[in-house]
Amino acid sequence: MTELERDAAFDAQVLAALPHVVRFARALAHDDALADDLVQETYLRAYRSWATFRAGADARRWLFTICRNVYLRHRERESRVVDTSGEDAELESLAAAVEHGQAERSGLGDLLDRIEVAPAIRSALAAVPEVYRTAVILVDVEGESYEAAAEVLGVPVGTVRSRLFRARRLLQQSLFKYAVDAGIVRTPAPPGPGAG
Amino acid sequence: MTTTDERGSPALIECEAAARALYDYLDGRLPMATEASVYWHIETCRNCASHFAFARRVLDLVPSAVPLAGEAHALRARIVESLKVEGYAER
Ligand SMILES: [Zn+2]
Repeated sequence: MTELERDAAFDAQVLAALPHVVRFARALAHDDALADDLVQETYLRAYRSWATFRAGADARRWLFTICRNVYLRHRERESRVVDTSGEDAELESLAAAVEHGQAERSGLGDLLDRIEVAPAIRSALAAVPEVYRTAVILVDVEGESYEAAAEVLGVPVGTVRSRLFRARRLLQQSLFKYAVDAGIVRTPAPPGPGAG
Repeated sequence: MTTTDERGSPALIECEAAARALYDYLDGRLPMATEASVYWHIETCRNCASHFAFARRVLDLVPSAVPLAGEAHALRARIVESLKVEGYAER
């Protein structure tokens, strides 16, 4: 492969994935300027190690992996990653079911038709710790499998699953809270008359 | 764990088991027998049906809430400049 061919392949597979990498970096960093720096550093590293990229592998996934490593290095001295692999994701789901019932009884019903969902989801994602946000971006936004997400994050599939469960639960919770703050639902439902 | 009974029809499960299986079910990660049990539970349980439907809708709405970054022209130019230093030849 000539240098020109090598760079053409880099364009087609790696530069073409830029919008996805930007979205991923923004979800990680939560600061657009920092995200841009992460993306630039990601591309620099990707270019330097392009020769090691296996033809036919998933370039986007490869870039996510690099981007997350760059990000982790960046915040090495900041607070350590909260590892939630030992927590019971299923219990979280159970709590979510109970909450859902309560919220519904206090007028939740058509919540999703009554709030601006996209901003609510964005602010909810912004509020959850990065490990959860990243799981949601990889699986629910990018459509990666649990296995692929585990590969990008360097954790077991079970950890992806529990992070995802918790993230989604937090997301649901935030949507309820968003609706309450917007005055759409009252929780808990106040007893007696005069609530209107 | 939920299994099928002797007649081969899905075993009845409780709301708690359904709640635990929620996301595995929505992501299609349950073994067939368990999936059938969850399916029949939400067919017959109003609360769980509502919860599952809500969770499904939220998951469906997430991708459009986090749109792609667009063309990111300025950033792309910045990246290309830094790659040129490494020997990259822009086409
Ligand atoms: Zn139920």
